[in-house]
Amino acid sequence: MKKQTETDERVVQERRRVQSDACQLLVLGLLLAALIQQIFLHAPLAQYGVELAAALLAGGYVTVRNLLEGNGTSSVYGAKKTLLGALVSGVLAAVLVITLADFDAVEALIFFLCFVPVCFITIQGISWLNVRRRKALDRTLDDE
Amino acid sequence: MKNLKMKAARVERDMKQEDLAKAVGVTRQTIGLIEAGDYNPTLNLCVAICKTLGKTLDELFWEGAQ
Repeated sequence: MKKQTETDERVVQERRRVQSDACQLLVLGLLLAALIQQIFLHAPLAQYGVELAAALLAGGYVTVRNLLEGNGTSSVYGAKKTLLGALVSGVLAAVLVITLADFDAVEALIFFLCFVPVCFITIQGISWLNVRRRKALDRTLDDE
Repeated sequence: MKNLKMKAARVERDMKQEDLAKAVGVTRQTIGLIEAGDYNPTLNLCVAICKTLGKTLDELFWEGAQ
């Protein structure tokens, strides 16, 4: 009976879906725990560092794994679209650091100026690598 | 959409859902869900079911088939 359950594609599929949901909830919980400790409890980094690192590593793992598998359907984002996304994210992040982390205007401006290029390069780089991987997969399939 | 053709083919062979499930290596619930149209099986499982019931993919899973 046990063997039969393990080979049932539907059961395997459902089990993977449940595990995936649990993983997402866990990462969300870690992120929320870190944010609550940082913003509302004003805890030192040492207190919530493990949660934050685990959440960031999990997010990074998901991104890199999808990248390596060549998952995704979009082409490389246009530079304008990426820049717009980076600018909007930068403004939101600047507002957050002003309101929650007590940054003054100059500090927030410096934060914004550092954030935008890093965000732009990261999004554009990930998109480029993903498309490159998919093209490599296409070439392999064409050869076959 | 319910898969009545699969159910009819199974009954024609005098098989219970459990017998078919055992023959193709899945649980009875999976067969029930396929017949009820609540689970979309993989091609591998479709082929295994067809071989067990002595039917073709068209006969069991193609919506326009007679």
